[in-house]
Amino acid sequence: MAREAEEDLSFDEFVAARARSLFRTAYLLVHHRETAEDLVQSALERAYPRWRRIRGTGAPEAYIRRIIVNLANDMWRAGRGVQWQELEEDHQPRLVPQAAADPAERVATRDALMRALRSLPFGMRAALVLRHWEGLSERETAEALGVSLGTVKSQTNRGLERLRAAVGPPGPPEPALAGPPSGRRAL
Amino acid sequence: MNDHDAAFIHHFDLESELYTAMAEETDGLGPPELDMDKVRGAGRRRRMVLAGSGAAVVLVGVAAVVLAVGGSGGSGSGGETVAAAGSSSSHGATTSGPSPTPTSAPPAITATGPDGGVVRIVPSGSGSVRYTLSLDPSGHCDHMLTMVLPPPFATTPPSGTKAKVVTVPSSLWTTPAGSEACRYIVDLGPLTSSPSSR
Repeated sequence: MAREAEEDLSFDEFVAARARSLFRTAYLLVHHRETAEDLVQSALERAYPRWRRIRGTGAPEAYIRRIIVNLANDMWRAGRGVQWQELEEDHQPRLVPQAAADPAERVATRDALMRALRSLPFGMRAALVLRHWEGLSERETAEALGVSLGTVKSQTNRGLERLRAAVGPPGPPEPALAGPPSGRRAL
Repeated sequence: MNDHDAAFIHHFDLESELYTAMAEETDGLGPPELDMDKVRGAGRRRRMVLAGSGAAVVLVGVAAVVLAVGGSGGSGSGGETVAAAGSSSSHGATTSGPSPTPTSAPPAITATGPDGGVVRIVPSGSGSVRYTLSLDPSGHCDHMLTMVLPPPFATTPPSGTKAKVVTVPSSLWTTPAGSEACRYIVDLGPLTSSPSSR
């Protein structure tokens, strides 16, 4: 009984410390507050009975984040009957100047980026969120998504290309992404 | 600066802008509203299921022993004991029947256009998802999307429609309403599992 109470305390401390970060990641995956809350709630419900074992892995947040990604992926698959089709060139979104100095244009650029991110297929979007928001390495991202390293590389590169296309004119050829990501961890 | 440097800076700027955009997008979210009683309740139900399964195994074991003893004794009362143990075993097995996870409510789609038009569409079948459609918060028509519903709800992209077209297979929908409003859907949100839980 005492051990159970101790595990409850540990679980509560984890939730208090990390739920917001998990929530932000979930939100970036699904772009909907209530759904993101549902994802975190469901992930915690699944994690709680196994908390002792999950805590023993030394990376409980990574474990629960993976549950969230899997749940979000399941949702996306369930709704995959809805498909996006590109229109002709003259129907493409208005290009927003990249790295604009004007604050208003910078806001517009970021809005365009988020819209473009939302329009990406789930795998591509999740790879970008995990790599560039969570700051995971390519290998960590592959583990979180349950895909190969090569898939993460191609999804990330293609996702960045599509974001770049959404916010500005085509840039110079993309260099090979051999190094680690920008390395920032989620808040 | 050579081409490689220029490419690197271009790449870096995009990632930097992406990170900033994601931070700004989620800054105002605040903490999630979580139901910790439900979290713990799910855990307790799971423990009970496991305990129930264990009890069922024990009872099946007891039944097997009683059956062996009763069979060798050949008495009528032994047979009754076996029957009683068997029913207990069945009762224990029911713990694996209902899932501890609540099932989701019937799915539906609700969307609102900038003209105030609302559309609610209920997918057919026993699917368990709900589509949440939301407007682009900026409200710029430049980023409109169009939902094309299949016959008999079909509509064609209006002239001047920008961005992309969403195609919804007819198998997903049974109830059309206000297909006109569909033309103004600008963002297809994610799926939620239980509209009635909110």
